[in-house]
Amino acid sequence: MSGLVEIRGLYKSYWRGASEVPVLSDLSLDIARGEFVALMGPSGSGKSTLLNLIAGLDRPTRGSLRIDGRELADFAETELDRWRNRRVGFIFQFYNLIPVLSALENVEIPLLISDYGGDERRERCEAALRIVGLGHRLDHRPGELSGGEQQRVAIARALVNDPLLVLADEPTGDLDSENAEEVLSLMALLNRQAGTTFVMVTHDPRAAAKARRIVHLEKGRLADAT
Amino acid sequence: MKLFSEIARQAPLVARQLRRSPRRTALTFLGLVIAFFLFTALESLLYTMSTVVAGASRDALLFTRAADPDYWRAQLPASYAEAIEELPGVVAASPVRFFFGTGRTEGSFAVAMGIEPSAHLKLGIPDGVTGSELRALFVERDAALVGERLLEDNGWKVGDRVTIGGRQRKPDLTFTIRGDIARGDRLDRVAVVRLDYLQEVLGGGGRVTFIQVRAREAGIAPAVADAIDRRFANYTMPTQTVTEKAHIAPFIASLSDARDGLRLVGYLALGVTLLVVANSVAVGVRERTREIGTLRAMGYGRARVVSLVLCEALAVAVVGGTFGALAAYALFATGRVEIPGAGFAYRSDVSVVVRAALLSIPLGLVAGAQPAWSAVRMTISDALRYTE
Repeated sequence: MSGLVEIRGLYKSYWRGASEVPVLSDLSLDIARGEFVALMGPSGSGKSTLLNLIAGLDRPTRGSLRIDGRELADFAETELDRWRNRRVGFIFQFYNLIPVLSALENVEIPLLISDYGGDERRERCEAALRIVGLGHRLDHRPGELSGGEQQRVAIARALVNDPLLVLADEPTGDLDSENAEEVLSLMALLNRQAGTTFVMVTHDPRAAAKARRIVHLEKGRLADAT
Repeated sequence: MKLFSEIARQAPLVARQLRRSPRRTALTFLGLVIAFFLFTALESLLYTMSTVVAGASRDALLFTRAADPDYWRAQLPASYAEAIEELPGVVAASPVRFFFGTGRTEGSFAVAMGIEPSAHLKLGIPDGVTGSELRALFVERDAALVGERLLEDNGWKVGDRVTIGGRQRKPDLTFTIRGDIARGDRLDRVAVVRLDYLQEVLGGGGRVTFIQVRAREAGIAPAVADAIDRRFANYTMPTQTVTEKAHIAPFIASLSDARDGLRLVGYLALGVTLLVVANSVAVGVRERTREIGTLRAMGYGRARVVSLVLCEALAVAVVGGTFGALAAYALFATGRVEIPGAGFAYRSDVSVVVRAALLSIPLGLVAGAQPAWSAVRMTISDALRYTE
C-alpha cells in the first residue's frame, strides 16, 4: 500500500495565558492508502488534536504533515477549505447532521459547493445512502431516524465526495452496542471493499478492534503501534 | 452568473434555517412588518405634504375674500366677480357662498356651497361629474352635486331629496342629489348647489363668502392677487386675495415643523428593528455553532458561511420590510385615510414603497454582520466542540 499520510516531527502546542502547553511532541506516523487506523489513548493524549491536524482543521506548530504528497502547511486557507471538501470525509460522535434537512439534503451539503450539477448531486447522494442501507429513508429528517441511522447518514455524507481519507472522531461514542457494531462493520466493509482510508479516534477497545492498525498515543507521543 | 447559481444552491439551506424556529422567525418578521409599515406611513405623510405644496404651487387658483379676520362672516359683494374677471390675467371668477348646517343626524356637520354654474365651470369640472349630472344643475333650481364623502357620512345616494338643517335660526336647505363628486376632489365633502337657490333660501342676496379666481397661469397668480386687492382697496369692503398655497399654508407650516421629528421617528423604528433582527440572527447562529463548525470542516470557507448568515438576515429583512411597506402603501394610496385636521387624505407613491423596501437591504446586511462575524470567528475545532 502506498503512503497517504506522512507525519514527521509534528509538534503542536497551545497557549494558555502566558504558558505554552504542548499537546503533540515530535510525533511521526505514516498511514498508507486503504488503511483503517484506530487512534487510542487516554484523554488529553492528543488524539483529537492529531485528527484535526490531519484534517487541516488546525495548523501544526512545527513539523511536517504531508497528505498525498502535499504539505498541508503550504495550503492557503481557501485552498485548504477546497481540499477538505474534495478529499476528506468527516464522521462525528454526535453525527452533526442539520436537523431541518432530510437525509438526502444532509448528504448533499458537501456537494453544494462542488462542481456537480443538480441531477448528478442527487444521484450521488442516493447512491451513498443506498450503500449505507438507507435508500428507503431519503426524505426522513434526522429526528425521524435512530442514532445508528443518523450515524449512517453521516457516513454517507462523508463518502459522497469519494474522499481520499475519512476521519472519524468517536463515531460510536453516542451509540448503543448494537448500533455501534453496525456502524463499525459498515466502516470496515467500506474500507475492505472500496479501499477507503479511515482514521478513527476511539476510547472503545471493541471499536478499535475493527481497525487494521491501532496507534496508541500517550502525552502527545506515540506509545506503541499494533 | 456564478453568484446566482451559488445563491440558488444555498437558498434551500437558508430557507430551512429560517423555519428552524418558526416562532422566532415569525416574531422577527412581525417586528419588521410593523416598523416598515410605520416608516412608510410617515414617509407617505411627508410625501403628501410635498405633493400638496407642489400641487398648490402649480395651481393658478386664487381666493378673494374680505380683508377681515372674520372673513367667513363678512360677506363679499358678488358683483366683485364681474370686476375681477375684467382684470388682466384672470380667466374666471366665480362667487361662492357657503352654508354650514347639520346632516342626517343631530350634531353632524354638513356643508353646502352655492355657485353660479356657468362661472364656476370655467374653473374646472369636479372629478366624477358626468355631462348629464352637470346639466341637471343648470336645469333644476334645487339640484345638487354631492361629494362622495358627504354622501357616505350621511347615507345619502343620488336621486335622494335631502335636507341640511340650518344652525342658529337659519333656515333648512333642501335639495335633490343629481350627481356625485368623486372622492379625492377638493369638493368631495361638499354639496354643490346653485347660488341663486341658496340666496333664495338664506336671503342676503348679492353677498358671498369669497370669490374663487383662476389666473391664466400659476406664475402670474401672485401679481393677479395684488391687482385684485388694489382694485378694491378704496371700497368699503376691501379684499384680501391669497393663492391656494397660502390658503393651506398654516397647516403645511405646522406639519413642516414636525417634518424632522417625523423622519427621526421613522428611522428610529427601523433602528430598533435592526437590533431585533440582529439579536434574532445572533441567537440562531449561536444555537448552530456546532453545525457551522461542521459546514466549515466540510469545506465551507469563512466567506461562504458569512454569506449564508447574511442571506438569512437579508431574507427576513427584505421580505418583512417589503411586506410592511406594501401594506402601508395599500392603505394610504387609496386616498381614503384622512390626515386628522388637514382636510385632505394621505397620499403615497410607488417611489415611497421602493425606497422603504430598498432600505431593508442595508438593514438586513447590518443586522447580519455581527452574527456572521461571530459565526466564523471561532476556530473550526472549537466550533465542533461547542456546547451551550
